[in-house]
Amino acid sequence: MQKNVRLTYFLFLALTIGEVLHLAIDIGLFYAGEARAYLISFGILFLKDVLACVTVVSLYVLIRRQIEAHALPDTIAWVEPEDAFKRGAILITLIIALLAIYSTLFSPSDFNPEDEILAAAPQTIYTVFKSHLTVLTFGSYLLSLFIVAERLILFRRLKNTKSNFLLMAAFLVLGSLAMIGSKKGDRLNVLAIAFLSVSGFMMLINLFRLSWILPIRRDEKIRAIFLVPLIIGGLVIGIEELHLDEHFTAYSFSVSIFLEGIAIFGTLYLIVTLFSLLFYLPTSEAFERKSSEVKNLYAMSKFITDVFEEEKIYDSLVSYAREACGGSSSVWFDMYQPYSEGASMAESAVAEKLPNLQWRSLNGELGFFKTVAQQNISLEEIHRFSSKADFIWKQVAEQKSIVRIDDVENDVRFGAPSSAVKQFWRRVKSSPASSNGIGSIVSVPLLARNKLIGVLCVAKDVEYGFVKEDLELITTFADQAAVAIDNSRLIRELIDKERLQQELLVAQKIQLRLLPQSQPKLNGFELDGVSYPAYEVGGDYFDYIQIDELNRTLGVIVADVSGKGTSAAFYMAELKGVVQSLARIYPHSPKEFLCRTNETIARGLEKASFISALYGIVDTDQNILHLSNAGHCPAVVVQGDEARLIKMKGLALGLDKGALFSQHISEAHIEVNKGDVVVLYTDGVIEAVDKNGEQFGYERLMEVARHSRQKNASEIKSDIFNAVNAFTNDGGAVKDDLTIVVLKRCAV
Amino acid sequence: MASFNASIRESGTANIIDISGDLDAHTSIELERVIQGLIDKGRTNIIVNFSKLNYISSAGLGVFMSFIDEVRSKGGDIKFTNMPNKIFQIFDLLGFPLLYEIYDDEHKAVEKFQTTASS
Repeated sequence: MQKNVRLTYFLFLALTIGEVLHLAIDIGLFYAGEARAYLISFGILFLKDVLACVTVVSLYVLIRRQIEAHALPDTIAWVEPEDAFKRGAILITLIIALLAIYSTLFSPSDFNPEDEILAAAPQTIYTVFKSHLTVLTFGSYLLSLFIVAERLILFRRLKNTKSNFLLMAAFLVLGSLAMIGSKKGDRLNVLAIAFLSVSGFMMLINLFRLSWILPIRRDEKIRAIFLVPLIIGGLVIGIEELHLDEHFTAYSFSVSIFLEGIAIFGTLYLIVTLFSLLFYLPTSEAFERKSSEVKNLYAMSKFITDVFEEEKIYDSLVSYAREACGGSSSVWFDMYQPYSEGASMAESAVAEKLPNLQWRSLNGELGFFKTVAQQNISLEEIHRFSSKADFIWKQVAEQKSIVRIDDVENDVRFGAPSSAVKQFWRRVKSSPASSNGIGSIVSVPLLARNKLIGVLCVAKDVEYGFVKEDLELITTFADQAAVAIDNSRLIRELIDKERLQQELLVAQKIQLRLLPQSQPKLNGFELDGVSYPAYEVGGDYFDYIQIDELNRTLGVIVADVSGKGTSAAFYMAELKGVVQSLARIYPHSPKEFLCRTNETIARGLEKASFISALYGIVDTDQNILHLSNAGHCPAVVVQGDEARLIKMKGLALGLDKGALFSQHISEAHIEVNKGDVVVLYTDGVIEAVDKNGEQFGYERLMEVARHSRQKNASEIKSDIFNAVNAFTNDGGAVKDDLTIVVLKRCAV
Repeated sequence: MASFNASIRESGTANIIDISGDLDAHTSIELERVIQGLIDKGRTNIIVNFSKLNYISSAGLGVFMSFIDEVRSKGGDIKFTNMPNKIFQIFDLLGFPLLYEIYDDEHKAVEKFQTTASS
């Protein structure tokens, strides 16, 4: 920072010293009068040129630094072209005016063409001052023009752009330097001609670097077209009318070559610019349109990723579509809802009166459209229009295709006469506002996975308002929005599902607490049980009920509520309550217990539900198992090395409310010897299938129980469970909840 | 997904529903719809032919339970025929034979409806 400031001061100092010394020499020369002829030597001219170069170089660097300091961010052009033209035009007007006023005030201030010594000598002292003033103002202007041109030429540069420009500038500088020490009227030397020719050639190349024109806006271009001629005019007036070039020459021949060179280049560049502006003007609208399309599409694609609120997507869709089709168009979005999802609403007569609902019968199925976002049109207007044009929504919903009406007033689908003459007559008669000001309309369906989400309607007040590109753009918006809406719905579904999953996990935890947490104590016996639900929660139930305090009598129940999942789980919980309370009231007879349980529970069960249950009372005094079965899988009893099923008659709980149930239920009394094993289970075990669809069945269960009879209850339970798992492995399945309870009388 | 199909035939006064595939919690909804359709039309003499049924879950059994009272109150019945042994065992286990008439042969069920109607 400090260094920059110091450099500025230094340049300023150099500029001042160079200028003051130069001015002093010129004044001296002027007053030298006749002696001039002797004083003007190569040495003096060389000194003058060097001082002039110092001044011009300092000026150039100062101006360049100044422009760069005020450069716009993010652009290598440093300047906004239109803004630069505006300033340029004002500045040149001021400079020309200043110099013109100077000439009028201090006339005569031009050169005397008859002077023989200097070819053209200053007429008065004012001429000397004017020369210096010209360089400092008009010269500075040319320098800044050169800098701006450089930045514009380098905009969107190609590989050679920069070197082309630098070559041009360098040869111009070399050409000027080659003439150091010469005076006005001297002929250009060979070296200067060569350098300047090369520079001129490079100018031709650089003239056509105009890539900055294309991106500027149409209105900016129009303004530029008026500004550029002003600058060209200023330059031409300055040189042709005020003869400012002569003052350059008087200042320093060498510098004048450079300044005139950039004046020529600048003028030509501005002329080419002017023509380019004129040529680009007609295509400018198309270009702007394209770029705004790209911008809108980009914005659309962006909101897909970060908007998960459906309503926001509707609004954005509508405003993007409106932006794309021109501000005067009306846009609205109708959401589609099939009958099944809004059945109650669809039949409501009240709803039909609302202006924002449009009821349609589709293929015999009712579905409806609801306007959820609109711009530049009221709900009443939409409703009025849609009541006339209901075929649009019908067609969109049925065929999922775009509906386009170019001339609403004269479309046969609106019942307009088909003959052209009648149409014309109708048009003459009707006022333009008769169709809510809708002249043409395009309705585009939003489809996600081939399902209709809604319709985007774009209407214009003129007939034939839509071209192919409009349609393409609207369709693209619709497609993008459809994806976004679909995503947002999927995510919401997922969130709901997740929440449900969480709640099910809570239910699962609770249900697990309903099952026995530990093995019961029973004299001379051991028990173990396990239950796995097919889903998060299930309808299987097993329990132990301590009937006395001395661990002598224990109730064991295994039950299976019909169905699976949540409803089964509720009944299972209810069953537990009933079982726990009734078991102690009927401590001796399992049959009695099941009859009472049936009476209690049948009232609360829905018709389609029932519960199969197997209840046993273990009497350790007599080592007898009293067993009763309500439609449940028969218990497996292993005695010695023989396994058998205890098949008993009985209805499942809930199938019959009383008489039939108690008539058919039976009771078995099984003597349990040391080492005997009883297995209670649910049909999940029997109905587990392997990959071929074969069931695990009773035989396999009995075989596993028999085989493992020497082990303790927990191990037998695990063996059975593992056997079922091994059976269903590799393609099979346990279709139902699965429960195993093993009772074993200890061998010793 | 297990496949399930239910189709209706008429035989005399009886409506025979042929069911095939797996009848479980998901597919039972379809059977419910079929039976409800018959009841709505007043056709309450219903015979269910199980010959092609591969599997039935407790939810499947529940379908019959949920309609039997209504059908009987309207003077009709639901009778089961042609049960494969595997399916019959499940019905038997739960005590369904006590609540429903089960025949080996469809014709017997049709005849039964005819005689009930004439008597």
